[in-house]
Amino acid sequence: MGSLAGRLILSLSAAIVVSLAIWLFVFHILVRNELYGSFDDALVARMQSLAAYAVNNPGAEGIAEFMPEFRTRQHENYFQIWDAAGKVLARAESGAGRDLQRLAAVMAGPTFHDADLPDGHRGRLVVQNFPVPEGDPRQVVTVLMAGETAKLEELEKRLHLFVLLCSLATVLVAVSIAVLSVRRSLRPVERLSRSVSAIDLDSPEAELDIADLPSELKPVAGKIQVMTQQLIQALARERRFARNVAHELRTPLAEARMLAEVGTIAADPAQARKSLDEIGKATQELEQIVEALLSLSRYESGIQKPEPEPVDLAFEIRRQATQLAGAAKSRGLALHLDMPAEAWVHADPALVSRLVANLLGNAVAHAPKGSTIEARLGSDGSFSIGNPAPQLSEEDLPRLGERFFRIHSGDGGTHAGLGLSLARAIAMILGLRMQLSLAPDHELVASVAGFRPLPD
Amino acid sequence: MRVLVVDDSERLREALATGLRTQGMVVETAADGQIALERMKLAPYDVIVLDVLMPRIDGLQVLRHVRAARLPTRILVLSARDQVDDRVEALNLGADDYLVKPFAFSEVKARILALGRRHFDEPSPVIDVGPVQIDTTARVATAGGRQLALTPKEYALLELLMRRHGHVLSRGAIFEQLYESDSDASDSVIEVLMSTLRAKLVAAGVEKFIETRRGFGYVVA
Repeated sequence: MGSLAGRLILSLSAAIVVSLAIWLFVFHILVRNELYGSFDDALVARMQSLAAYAVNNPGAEGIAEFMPEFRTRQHENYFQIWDAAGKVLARAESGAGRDLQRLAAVMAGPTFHDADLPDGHRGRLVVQNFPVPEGDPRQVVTVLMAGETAKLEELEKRLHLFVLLCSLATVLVAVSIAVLSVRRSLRPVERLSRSVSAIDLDSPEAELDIADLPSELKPVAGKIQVMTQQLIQALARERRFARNVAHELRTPLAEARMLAEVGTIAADPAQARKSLDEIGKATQELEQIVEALLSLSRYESGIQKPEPEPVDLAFEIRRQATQLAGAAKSRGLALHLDMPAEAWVHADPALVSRLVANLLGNAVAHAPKGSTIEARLGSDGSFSIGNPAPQLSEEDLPRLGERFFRIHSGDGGTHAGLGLSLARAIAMILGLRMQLSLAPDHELVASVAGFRPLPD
Repeated sequence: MRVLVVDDSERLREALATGLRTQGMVVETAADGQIALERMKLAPYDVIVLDVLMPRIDGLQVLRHVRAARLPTRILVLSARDQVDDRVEALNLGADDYLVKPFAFSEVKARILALGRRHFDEPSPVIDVGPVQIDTTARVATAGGRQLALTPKEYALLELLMRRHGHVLSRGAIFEQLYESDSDASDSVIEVLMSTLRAKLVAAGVEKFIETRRGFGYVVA
């Protein structure tokens, strides 16, 4: 059974039926014990009365007067009395002269048996030896008292039938109530299910109807709502990425193709040479974009595993700053380094180098012309790179580091918008914490922390 | 035909402009939507070639501005976005055509010329006035059955006068249509162009095709 309601109904029904079956069994035992206990008590009482009379009256003549119920021919109650030698001292007239079977082993206490009575009906009997006064030739009196159990069994059957019918009715009512209760209780789950099914991930305002949900489901619905929004945002990011990839790859392709065609039809050889030169630059940019995308793919898919070894971060930052000095100078940027002489950490040197290069390169590419870039390094290896970013607002921060996200500074530079994405991916595989923040004076600060110290 | 090429890729923008200029078109460029809107305020364009993803004001916003201002300019959108939704959005905003990057120069030229014909309400690419014919697709002019060897500017002048035949065009108006707004040349260059064009027409046996209306300008009657 596939549905939750079906499973619940089945479980509840099974529980009801099993409970009632157990109750029926217990009821049967109790009723049987009670009925047969009372029957046995009556048999014993009659046997003891008869025995008391028989012990004190050696002759059996007066028994019929003493217990007249045995003089009937109704074949319901029987008795028989033997002496120690097995001689029948007396028997009930209801037995019509037929003997009851004398048991071989009779105790001083009452012993019960189920046996066939002289009339062929099933009955219950009790037998006991009773001592006689000293000198009595009988030595001991064995008294057997029997009663027919047919009426008792009939009563028991009627009781069982009545209880069984009541139980069946109870099962029907209980199962019906269970079905209704389960369906009613699961209605909010069905509504939630319909609501979840109706979510359109293409609609940014997709929301669950969580009003009037029971308190148990509200946290689940709330979580689904949050996850849905996250999924919609992730899909939007991926769509933006797909569009941006198309734009970033097609633009240099379009440039190269256009330059090739225009160069071909150009009458001026200088124009043709210029076209060739520009085609070279366009393909170089295309190569850089493809290389960056491949690196991102390697980092994000976990193909590239870090191989940690001792790295001097101070040396690495200084080295990258030296390499970028030319680009910084061409834009009139000042690079200010605030760091100790050495800062050793345990990390993958190639990845650390690329992380620093991307962050510093991003700052050099985007800082306004003539501004200052600040690189600060702590002794624990945490470092930050800050650059003025007047074009940036707080709203842009969540999207910084998204692939191909760019804020145009108006400088006319060509950047694919992958530097911060690469830095983020590298920080992630190195197990570092990278944070981008905007200081009140509009300084964008990229902070990296969490480097492992050198092992002892 | 005056064309404005708007694209944030300087390389693509300039290559396209250079190629279109060799076809006798007057081409101006803009690096983003804001510059494009400013240029449009200064001079009308017959066709705008417009990129979508651009800094400051993007191509779709430019489209909205142009259509809100009810400018008759034809707009060809060039974009790397190739999804149906992107094309539908641009066309719904008032673009006349949409071309996905990368593209062949011959295709973009053909589309610009087709938009130019729609702009001038010409059903055929061939304009025929008296003994002179021009094929706006092949960028070829013939006079008296002989093909004229025209420079791009001479061709552009002839095309302009034939497109507006019957209308007198002043020297200044012709200059505006034939030269970029930031051109260093003065409008006296039109007289030089007119002279060389007339000489080529006469050499082909067609005389007095372009008349001078003293004090007003020039006309192909």
